[in-house]
Amino acid sequence: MLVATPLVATNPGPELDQLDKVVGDLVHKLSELDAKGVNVTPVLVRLDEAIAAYERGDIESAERAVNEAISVLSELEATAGEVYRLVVLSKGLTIAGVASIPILVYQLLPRVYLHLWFKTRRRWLVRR
Amino acid sequence: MILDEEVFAVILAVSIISSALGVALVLKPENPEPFSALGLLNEECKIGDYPKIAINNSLLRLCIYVANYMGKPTYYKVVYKLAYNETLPSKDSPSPEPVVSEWRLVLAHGENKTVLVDVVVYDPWTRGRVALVFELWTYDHASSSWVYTGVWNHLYIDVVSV
Repeated sequence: MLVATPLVATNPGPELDQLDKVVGDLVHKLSELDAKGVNVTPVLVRLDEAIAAYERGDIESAERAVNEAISVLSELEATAGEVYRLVVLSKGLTIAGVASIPILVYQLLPRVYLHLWFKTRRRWLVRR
Repeated sequence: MILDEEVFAVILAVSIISSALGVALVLKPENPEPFSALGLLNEECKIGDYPKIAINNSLLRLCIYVANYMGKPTYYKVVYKLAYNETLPSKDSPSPEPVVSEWRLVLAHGENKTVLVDVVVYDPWTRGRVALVFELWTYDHASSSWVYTGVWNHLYIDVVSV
C-alpha cells in the first residue's frame, strides 16, 4: 500500500480551495445521480485520481482527471432520466408482484389444492 | 369444501402479512441512519499494537480507515493535529490546535478506504505527552466549506528527545 502524501493545510493556497470547490460541486451532482440509481463509480474513480495527483503536486494530471470526471458526468447526466424511469418501473413491478401474492393465494390455492387432491386419488376405487 | 376453511384462512392471513412486509421492505428508505466512520490503525493497518513512544520531530507511520454510510457519495478530509488533554476535540467542536496535515478522499455510499500515512510527531509545549488527533470533516456543497462531522480518533504518545 502506498503512503498517502499529506496536504499541509496551514497554507492551503488558492489551488486547494479551487480543488475543493470543483470536487465538492461534482460530488454534489453525483449524489443527485446516485439517488436516481445511476452508477457513479467511474466519476468517483477519476476524482480520486485527481485528488491523488494533486497531493503529489502533479497539478496537470489533477486537472486532466477532473476534466475527465466532468466529461463522464455529462454522459451519465444524459442517461440519468432513462435509468431513473427503469428503476421506478422495476420498483413498481416488484411492489405489484409482492402485493398480488394474497390475491393469487385466494384465487389459486383452493383450485390447486383441489387439482392435487383429485390427482393423488385418481386411481382410488369406490367400494359399496 | 375439501380444503378446510380455517386452514385456508390461516394461509391467507400469513400471505397477507408477508406481502405487507415485502412491500414495506421495498418502500423503506435505503439509509435511515446515515453516518461516517473513522478508524485509526497501526502501521500494518490492524487494530492494536499502537506506538507509545516517539522521538521529537520524527515521523510515525499509521493507517487511517474511513467509511461512508451517508447514503450518497461524500467528499471527506481527515485532519491531523497535535493536541493535549484540554484541547481534544468533542462531538460538537474540533480541536482548536492548528492543522498539521490533511488527507482528502471521495467515497461512494457503502465504500471504505484504508490510507497509510506518515505523521510528524512533536511536542509544541514540551509537556512530554501529546495526543495525535485525527478529525473527520465533510465538504458541504451549500456553504462551499468543510464541516466537522463530530467523529475523531486520538492516540496518546510520549514524546522523547534524543
